Amino acid sequence: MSLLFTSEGKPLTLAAKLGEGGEGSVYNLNGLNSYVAKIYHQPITTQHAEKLMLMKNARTDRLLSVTAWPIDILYNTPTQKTTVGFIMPKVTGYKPIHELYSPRSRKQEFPKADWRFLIHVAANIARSFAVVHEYNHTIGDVNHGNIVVSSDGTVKLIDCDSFQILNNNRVFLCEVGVPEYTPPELQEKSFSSIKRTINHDSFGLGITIFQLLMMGRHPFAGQFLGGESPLETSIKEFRFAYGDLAVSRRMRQPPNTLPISSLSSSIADLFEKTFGNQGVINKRPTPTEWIVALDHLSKQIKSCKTSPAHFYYNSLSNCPWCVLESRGLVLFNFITSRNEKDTFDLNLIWGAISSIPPPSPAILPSPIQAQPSAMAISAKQDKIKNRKISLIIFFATLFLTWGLFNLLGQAIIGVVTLLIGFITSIKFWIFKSKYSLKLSSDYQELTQKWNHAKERWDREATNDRFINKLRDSETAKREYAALSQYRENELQKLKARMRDQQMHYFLESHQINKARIEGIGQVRKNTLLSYGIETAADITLSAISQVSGFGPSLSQKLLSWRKLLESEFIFDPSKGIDKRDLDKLELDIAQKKQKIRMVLDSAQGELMQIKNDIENKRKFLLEELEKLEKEKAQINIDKKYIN
Amino acid sequence: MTDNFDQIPFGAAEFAENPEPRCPCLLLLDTSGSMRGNPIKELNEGIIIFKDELSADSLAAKRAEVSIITFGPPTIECEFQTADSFQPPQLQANGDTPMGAAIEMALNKVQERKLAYRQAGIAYYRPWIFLITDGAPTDYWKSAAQKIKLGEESGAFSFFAVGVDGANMDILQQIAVRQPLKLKNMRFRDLFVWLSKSMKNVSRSKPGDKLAIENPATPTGWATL
Repeated sequence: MSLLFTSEGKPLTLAAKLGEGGEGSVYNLNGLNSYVAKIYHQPITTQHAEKLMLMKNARTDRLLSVTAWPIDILYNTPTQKTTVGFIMPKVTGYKPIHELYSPRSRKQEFPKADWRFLIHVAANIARSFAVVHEYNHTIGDVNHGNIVVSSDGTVKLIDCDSFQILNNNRVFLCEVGVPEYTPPELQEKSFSSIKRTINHDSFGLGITIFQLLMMGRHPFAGQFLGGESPLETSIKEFRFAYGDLAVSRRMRQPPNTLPISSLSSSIADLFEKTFGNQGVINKRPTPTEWIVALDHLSKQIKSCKTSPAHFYYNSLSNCPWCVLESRGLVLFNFITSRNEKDTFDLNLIWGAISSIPPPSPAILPSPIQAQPSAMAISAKQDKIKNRKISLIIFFATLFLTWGLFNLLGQAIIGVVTLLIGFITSIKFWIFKSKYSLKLSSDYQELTQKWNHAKERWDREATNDRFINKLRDSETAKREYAALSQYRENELQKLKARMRDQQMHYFLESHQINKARIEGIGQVRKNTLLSYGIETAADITLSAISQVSGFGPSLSQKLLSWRKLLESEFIFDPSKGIDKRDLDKLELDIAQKKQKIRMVLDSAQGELMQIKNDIENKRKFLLEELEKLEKEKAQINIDKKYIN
Repeated sequence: MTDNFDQIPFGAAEFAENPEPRCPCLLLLDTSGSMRGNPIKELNEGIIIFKDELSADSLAAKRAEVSIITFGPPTIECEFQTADSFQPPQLQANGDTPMGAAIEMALNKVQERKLAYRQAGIAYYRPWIFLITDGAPTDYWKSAAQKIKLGEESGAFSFFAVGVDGANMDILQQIAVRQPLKLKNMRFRDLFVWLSKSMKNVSRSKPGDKLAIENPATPTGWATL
């Protein structure tokens, strides 16, 4: 394609190709830095050309603030014969929305983005939709690539030539759509004959907002209890996987996702209205409703005490991100803001901590004097009575046996009588009353109870926990005070390594891929790359020996390339320590500080709590122990008395 | 979070950090002794290109998942992982061609992966199984062929067969439901460029849609019928 012409006949030429899509490619324009051209692959219909012309004429500053709206048409002749494409503002520094809502790519592409940022972007998307709707146009093809975001959280809608355009009762349809963002009532329908409505756009908007707030999850992707359910089917059948009604739709939300209520009940309600079946009859929340709700949510955000990267809805009692993080799911980068106003005062905090008095001394109940109980007295009487009977039987037996032997000569009967008499006598002698038996079993039970209570006392009611916590706080305080010394030491170390580090960065700036190395072609470069050997700094004998296909001669070539670069390196002491190393050190210290501050910040409260807890436990356990002590004394004295 | 006592399944972090819908692609590669020399070298380079092409596309890098099974003997060279974290292995050629067992292993792997997606609540596209061979099965393959037929009919996966020089195209024809393709002049790179392009298209298409793929069996393409 050589020369193109604008609607005013001005000639233009295309520069580098920026990207290629299904319908056309996007190019830079020579001499026009802030604009790009989209050139169609295939000749477009007259209706499509008309639509572009209309869009060009209908452009407004307001539309251009939120979209890459066509501002001029491109023809292949100066006399406006055939439309080959159009000119639109160049959108630079913006990234597709999927780079933001997917946690893994977000952590790379938007390293500082926290949940507040995501809410903010969601509201901005709603604003951009609202602007387009103001002019009665419809976006139609809402998807993961047509919304782009900048690092400051502003958004732009791109691929505007697919919008549905309304002009003087004439409608130019949006003939495309992505099923994941298509409302249930349009699933499986051909877009070439359907007039899109704001209510349809609101569905796509709802999906996008959900993806932003819910860590890239799709609202209809869940565990369907009825087997396989592709996204389109789930959408068509209203199987929104979250919320109270999910069960009735036989859906379960995926594991390790936040409950929808953790976004506030008003946001949860908007989602339910967007994805439920009542949404079909024109009642999905509009962009304006979303703007209000999201702005409101952004004012109800609280920061997490543990991680400066965590922000969440302030009605929740715990940080939901910390819960996920404890399961190994790190969804936000841990970054401390350096400009944060420093209100931390070590002396003040330590003063507060050390002023807490330890729990009052713990005294175990002393032994108690008891009197034998009535039961014991009657048991003792029983015992004496039985002993007496035993003696009577004993002597009667002796007498009887004597009589049987000497007077009647009945020796056998005499022996039998003697035995029976003796056994009966012994039985009475060793008689134990019921109470006395009970005493023995009670004693065992009581000893167990006592031991148990004493164990609890040692564990919960002594000052150990308080002392340990205080000691931890003291350690934290010492570490905090030592941080500046630590920083000094690390800086000294960096200084000492300055030459090596400078050399390292110098070597790192030489990418193997871009270098000419004898005997190392693109294929071998790819192999090296796949082993993580990317720059001259990565080249070491041990690293290369891991790479298959690199024998001594190739290794030598790589090593000599590195040697050559090393010989070209000139150390510049005036450069100081590399900023990257300084940043790393500052981050390290910030993280250490944060950790210690957390310990100290919470120490006062925790110590108070531990103290109260110990004192409460002590009161309770002391009562328990006193009761047991009393019972024990009673049993002991009773036992002693009876015996 | 509905239930704090839910166990954490293996791979939870993977799906939490990247909940994009997945489009799984299993490469079922013949690395029998006859692939030794140039063919295995070209194949290895083709896989590297496959990875590079997929990772260059930010959306496909998160959606396309690659797994490699080689035979013989049937071995899982790498488990399913998204293109951005996939590391191309260095395959070596030896052994015979137990294609039947390898296909069954591949079908199980795909089934297993789909189950993992379902449990994690991750949407997915129809999996692709891509068989590349230069020989004929040395084991019983009829039951594998039967399973492929059933799977294709029910839409459980799409099975593609590519024959390199020396492949028994008659048997491939009986194994795959789709017309097997014959690789021209060891053009593995072109094959993998085409495959990555197809995966990119699939990862942007409607799940379960008719495949929008370029015909590789054109005069300039890498295959003949």
